[in-house]
Amino acid sequence: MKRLIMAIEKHTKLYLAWLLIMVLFWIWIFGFFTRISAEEKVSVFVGAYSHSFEAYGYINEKAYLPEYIRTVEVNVHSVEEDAFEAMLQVFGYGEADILILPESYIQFCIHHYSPISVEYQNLFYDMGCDLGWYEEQGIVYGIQVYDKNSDQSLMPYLEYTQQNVPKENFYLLFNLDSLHTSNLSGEKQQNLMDAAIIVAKRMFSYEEN
Amino acid sequence: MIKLYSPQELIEIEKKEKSYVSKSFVLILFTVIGCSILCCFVSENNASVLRIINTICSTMAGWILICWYLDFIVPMRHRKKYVQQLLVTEGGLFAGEVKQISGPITLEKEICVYKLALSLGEEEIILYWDSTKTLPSFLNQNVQFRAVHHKVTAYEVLK
Repeated sequence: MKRLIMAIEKHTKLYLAWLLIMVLFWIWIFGFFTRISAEEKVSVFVGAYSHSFEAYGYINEKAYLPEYIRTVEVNVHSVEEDAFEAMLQVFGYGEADILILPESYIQFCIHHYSPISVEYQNLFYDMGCDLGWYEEQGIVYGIQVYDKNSDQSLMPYLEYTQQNVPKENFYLLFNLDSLHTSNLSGEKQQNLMDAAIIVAKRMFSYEEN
Repeated sequence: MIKLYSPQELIEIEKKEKSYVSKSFVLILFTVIGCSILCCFVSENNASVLRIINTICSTMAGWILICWYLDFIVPMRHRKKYVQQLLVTEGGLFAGEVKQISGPITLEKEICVYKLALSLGEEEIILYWDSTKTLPSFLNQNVQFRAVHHKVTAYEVLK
């Protein structure tokens, strides 16, 4: 026994290295097994001044989600973060179906967003989304969720302002590459899945306790 | 002369070494099969539990393998080479009085030995006695040793 303890002490670094390798290895393997494909999830990217997303449980309720959706993923990143633009590139434009962003981050990247057809504008308007739209060259790309002039918000559970930072309008947009926007843009080649639109509607209907 | 090493000892070392190597392979096989079987049953609900089980099992198995390899298999291989070398070479004879016994000290490749200071008249030489062999009380006795590179392979107490 004494010999064994001495031997273990002698190679402590090796034993610890093996432990670390195994922990990382199984995290990677199980991450691979439990990975949810883009078809089975709706991803939301929130770029405001919030650090949490209060409506997470509400938008993840199975009852309203289509059967093929296993989860709604929410990535909340504060605009103040140093790496915000990198996060927006990776988790926003790369993965998200729905994005909530300030006006300054939208205008130069309009090619990432899906146009919203008149039919869907009316649908959201009827739901009470009457603050305004994000328009470029007569095409609507975003639904206004916060108005800097009136300080009104359609999603009051998010923070849109910060001290010493000029106020901005915030919009909800749909990623052009999303698999879940059905015929949002009114174009024929769009897909059949519409979970992103269902989730967006759900986000507007959340009421704070 | 009483011989310290025999071909039988070499066979026994080889047997032990093979036994550890085969045990290691069995352990690897069981761990890989066990973890693979558990992976077949992964679902969203049990993923975190199965991940912890697999991590613990593979870590423990790895630790046992490291322990067997570094502390049993490798020293056995060294010892096998050491004994082989001593059996193959005949070596020289040294007769004299044992003046001092010290040690044990570790030679190259983790071989542990006692140092014997042997007086050959005016000259004195150092011989190494394998610590795994029982060391008789040689002090101040006249002994004839057979040694290969100063490592004792046989001895005879002179009257």
